[in-house]
Amino acid sequence: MDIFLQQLVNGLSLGGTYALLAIGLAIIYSIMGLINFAHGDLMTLTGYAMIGVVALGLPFPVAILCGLVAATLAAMAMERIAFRPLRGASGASMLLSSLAVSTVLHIAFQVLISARPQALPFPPMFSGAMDLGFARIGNIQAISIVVAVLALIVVNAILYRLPLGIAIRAAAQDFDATRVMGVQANRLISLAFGLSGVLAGIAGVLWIAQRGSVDPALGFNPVIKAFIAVTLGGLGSLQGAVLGGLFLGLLEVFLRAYLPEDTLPYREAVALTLVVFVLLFRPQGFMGKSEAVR
Amino acid sequence: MANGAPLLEVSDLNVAYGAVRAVRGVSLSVAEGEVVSLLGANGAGKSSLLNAIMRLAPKTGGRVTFDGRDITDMDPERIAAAGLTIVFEGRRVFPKLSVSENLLLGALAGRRRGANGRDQGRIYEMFPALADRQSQLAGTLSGGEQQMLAIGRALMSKPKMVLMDEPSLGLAPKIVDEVFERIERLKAEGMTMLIVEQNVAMGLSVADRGLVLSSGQVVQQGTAAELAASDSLTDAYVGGS
Ligand SMILES: Nc1ncnc2c1ncn2[C@@H]1O[C@H](COP(=O)(O)OP(=O)(O)OP(=O)(O)O)[C@@H](O)[C@H]1O
Ligand SMILES: [Mg+2]
Repeated sequence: MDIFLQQLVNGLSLGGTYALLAIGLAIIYSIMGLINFAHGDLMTLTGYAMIGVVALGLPFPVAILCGLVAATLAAMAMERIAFRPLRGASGASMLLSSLAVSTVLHIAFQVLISARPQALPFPPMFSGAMDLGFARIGNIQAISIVVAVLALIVVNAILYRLPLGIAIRAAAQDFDATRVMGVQANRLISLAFGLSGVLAGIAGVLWIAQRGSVDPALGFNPVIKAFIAVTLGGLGSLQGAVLGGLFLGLLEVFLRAYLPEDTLPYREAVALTLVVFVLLFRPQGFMGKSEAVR
Repeated sequence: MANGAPLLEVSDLNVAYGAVRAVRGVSLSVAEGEVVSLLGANGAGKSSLLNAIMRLAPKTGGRVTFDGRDITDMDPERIAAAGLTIVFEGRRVFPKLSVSENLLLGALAGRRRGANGRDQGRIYEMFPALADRQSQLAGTLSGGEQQMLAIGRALMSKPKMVLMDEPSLGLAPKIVDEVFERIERLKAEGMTMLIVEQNVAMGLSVADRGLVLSSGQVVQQGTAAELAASDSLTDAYVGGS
């Protein structure tokens, strides 16, 4: 039972991180039909920014803050430079553009920083575990869950309370009609990218806290998982993205815990097969409508 | 009710979707306080014309001025902020937002004219059916209620002029009467409107003047009374191209 509980916590913490990434992807996709491949590189950038700030001798919380600011600004800059000129273009052109951005960032990280992992030690509060009597919970797992939940609550408040947040939801349903409401398209999309950027930054901090180092390809694996989560949840559905992320995180952790030893190398394949199964029976994902969202 | 200089002036407007020329050299003007009806068969280019005025359809030529400003190349959001808004064909309320969220967004364009999200009371008073459904998702409203919401949302910005694209589309006759009763009321309050209607009698009943569009061109225009008495009007519908 206690093992199960520990795995549940691990799964939720991984799934929460996927959910943060997935909701950022879903926000952008739902507004402009762009699948942003460079989303994962925002996590990587967060890590490098933190390493730089720590190297300057500044306190760790300042490093986290700077990492998040870097991810937010980078996301907004990405939109300005690479996606705004393509607005209204086909999904394929925008996807290619985001692949190009990702490649450029990747190479820049390799050339300007290093192809090898750079250590980013986190303060002691992130390591260790709490003994709750019935189970031992890793600090980082607990922090991940709490941070993910708080971030999702804040995102929810923005999207459901602030007029510009409500406009983001409206734009996902009818972009032109939203503009007629007097909402400036550029401001709205910029805000959406900023929001997705800060969420990718938070996911980056949590991801790196588990690993203790940053390398140029850091964002690749988690962002692929986030794509799968978004697809599972129903392309463009925000609640779906969160559900998809949690589902995928739990699935991964429980397969790792309960698959027989000699099949462990195949656990990703098993997980993806299960995802394919879900999509076979529910092609529109958990929350998707059977017809297109837009 | 025409008084003074035109509020909206369209000159030699052209719209084309690739090779399809939907609007060909249309000119029209609407004075402040005036209600003009735009008639024409399916595919005549009525929606293209209204959308192009809002810069939401591909203009290939022409000029549009509103309230003394050249809005030809203005972004839709700036045009809305200048006081010109549209009630789209097919209503296009935000289906997954509540009635009150739809109205709240409507107020954003009008901030400079003193409109705000709290003006919803005015709309609920005008459309009582919406008042009972404030937290209902717009997509679950009946067609008539959605049309009321679309009109209410447009009014939230306290616009100087409203473009209305087929407000009677797909509604039962009783509901059409109800919608037009509200349009009459807006007219009585002095609202300037350009209304597209398939329903000729309805369209002309609220209008001061009318224009008939056929294959993207104005083929006939006159006062509402003149057009109502005209025989050739039906040709524009039956003849089509
Ligand atoms: N987005 C578009 N892409 C390509 N062609 C279009 C588009 N919208 C309209 N058209 C074409 O432009 C022409 C005019 O269409 P429009 O919708 O403006 O007519 P309408 O007078 O509003 O018709 P209806 O009464 O049926 O609403 C039609 O031939 C139509 O097929
Ligand atoms: Mg039309």
